[in-house]
Amino acid sequence: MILKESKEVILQNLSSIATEEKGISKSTEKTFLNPQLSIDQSKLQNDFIANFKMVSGEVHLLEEKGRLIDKINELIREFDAQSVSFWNTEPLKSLELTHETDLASADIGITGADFAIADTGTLVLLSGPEQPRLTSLLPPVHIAILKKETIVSNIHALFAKLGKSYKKNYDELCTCISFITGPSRTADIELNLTLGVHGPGRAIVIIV
Amino acid sequence: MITERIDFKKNSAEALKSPKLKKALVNFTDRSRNSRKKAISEVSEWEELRSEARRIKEQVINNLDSYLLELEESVTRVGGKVHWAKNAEEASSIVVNIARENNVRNVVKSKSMATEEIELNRHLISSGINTVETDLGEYIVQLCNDHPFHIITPAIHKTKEDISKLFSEKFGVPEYEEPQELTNIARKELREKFLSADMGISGVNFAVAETGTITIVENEGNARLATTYPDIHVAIMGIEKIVPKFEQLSIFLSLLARSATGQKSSTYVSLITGPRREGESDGPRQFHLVFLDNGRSDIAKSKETRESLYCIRCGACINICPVYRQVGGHSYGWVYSGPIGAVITPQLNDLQKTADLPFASSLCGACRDVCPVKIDFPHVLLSLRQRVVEKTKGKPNPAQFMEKMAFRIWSFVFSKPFYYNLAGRMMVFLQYFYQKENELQGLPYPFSKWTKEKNFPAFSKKPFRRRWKEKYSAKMEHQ
Ligand code: SF4
Repeated sequence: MILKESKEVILQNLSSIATEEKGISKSTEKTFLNPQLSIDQSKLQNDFIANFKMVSGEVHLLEEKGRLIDKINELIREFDAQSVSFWNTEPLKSLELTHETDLASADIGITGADFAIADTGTLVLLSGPEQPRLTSLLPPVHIAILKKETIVSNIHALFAKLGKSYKKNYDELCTCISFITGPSRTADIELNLTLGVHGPGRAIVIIV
Repeated sequence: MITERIDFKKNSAEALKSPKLKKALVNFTDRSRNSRKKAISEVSEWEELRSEARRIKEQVINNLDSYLLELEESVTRVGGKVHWAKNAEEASSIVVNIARENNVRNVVKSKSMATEEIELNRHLISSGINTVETDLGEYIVQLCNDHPFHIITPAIHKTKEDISKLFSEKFGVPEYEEPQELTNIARKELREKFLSADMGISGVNFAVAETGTITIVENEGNARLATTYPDIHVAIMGIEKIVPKFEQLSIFLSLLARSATGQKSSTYVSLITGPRREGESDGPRQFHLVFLDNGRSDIAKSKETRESLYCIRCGACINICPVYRQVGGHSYGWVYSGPIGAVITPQLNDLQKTADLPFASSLCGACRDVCPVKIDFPHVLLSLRQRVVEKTKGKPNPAQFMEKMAFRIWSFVFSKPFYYNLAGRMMVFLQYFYQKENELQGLPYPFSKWTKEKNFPAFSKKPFRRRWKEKYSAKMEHQ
């Protein structure tokens, strides 16, 4: 019964704020979306690459005729990975990869990326039945496949885009949206930057 | 809760003794200031973002009751459960009860000031529940039974030698020197804790009223693990953490990382909406959100100091503060330090026990200038000072009596040219014993109160009035 009482106490305390101060403030909302901003996709891509690299992320551009599977296999060999876990979505689904079910022991996690933000170098991953959150988190190496047309200019544009895809009806909002800007990092020991303290120490993007 | 009076002077004197600490502080504050400055210079609309964030926060705090109800409804709609806690004990027992009901043995925690504030770890551990801090800095602090030194980087007061020794003692590993090696050890130790945890506890950076989404910002990934791997996720938020609309998050996220660490974005930002849904293979099965009041609704009632609740805990005011730079985090005696500590600690605790804190500032206003939500620190500090003085009114107070007398004499002397002149001349003689070069030192009581802490400039043999006269008359003759 305590709990109900607390709710009442808190609300009562707050309701004593003078009514003239309540209500929605008059000044209008400001938006930070600049529609004039040129949406030059190649500039967005270059900005994303520069910013992602700045935070110790790694970027591979898939050549015109290059095959994604070759690139991935090359990375798997490079890391000498025994087991790989990946999202069961296109284009990964149709690649011939062997899946490791125990994520905790996978050497590499491969995911897609639903969006990316150019001016911060950020990948945006939505969770879902085929898009587990842990794939980009538990293994020491995370590889994300990013389609270049999904890169947006800045965080305001990203939220506008999310708003649009949910048609402002957020009842269907996915359980977890993860923004990932480079590998896991800390500066807790004498301000020295170290990587991979909890999440992946290597964050790699393949742009297709 | 604070049980003993915070003696800011004594604490600072203690802190000033350690040259190691001093070096770490200067180093750290310099670096944070510079990277923040650089990061915000890249954002052309920085000032507009600050104004808009302040406007939103003002709206939230003025209408907090309806926003809390809206948030509760949204969280419930997406399958989570909301708990209301009016104070620290209640919040802790809510969490302990959730743990008990679900037979929880092992808890992993990510960094959260709200849980520090309510001393949640102590409650969980004394109820027989293993509780581990997983933010590297917090983990180090917990291993040595210490308190965090800064809200963003809790262990800046520990050297790598300290940490190396600590790890070697606790885990029986060699004394590694390299920070990366130490980090790797922590990863291994903590990964096991995550995989065996049945409950994860986190704080909340922002909670969106319309969607029930909580946002957690971090660099390490421990908060992601703590909120994804265990079956139960409990998030604890101060009731002021609300943002009305989903899209408004972009404003606060733009401000937070740049203000806190000078990053364009923190490494990880998680937007969590409810527990795992059907078909999903990970994410917690239960999601609990605890609303923590603990004095906040009282702050909201005061028009003068209400804006203390706009704070988004970025730490920029701490890094810029010339007082913090000298005396460090522990001098403030509680979980919040620097200007935000000086403002929030006295309002969330007994004012008499925390009366030193509003005075632990020179009112230079640097904090106000960097604050992403433009909290007017000098104004809030002054009104808190006023509150302190009013609280002690009526009680015989020798310091106040002396101050009153001094001002009486001062106003008498300063308003009569004859006495003013006379006093000036007398000082030139009287100061003889105390003068060292151009400063007075070691004056007798009550002036010793001043000279103990700073030197007083000596009175000039030739007062300004005389010099002015000479100069003026010489000029007149010239013409
Ligand atoms: S008061 Fe302002 S500057 Fe200080 S921590 Fe809070 S938001 Fe940051």
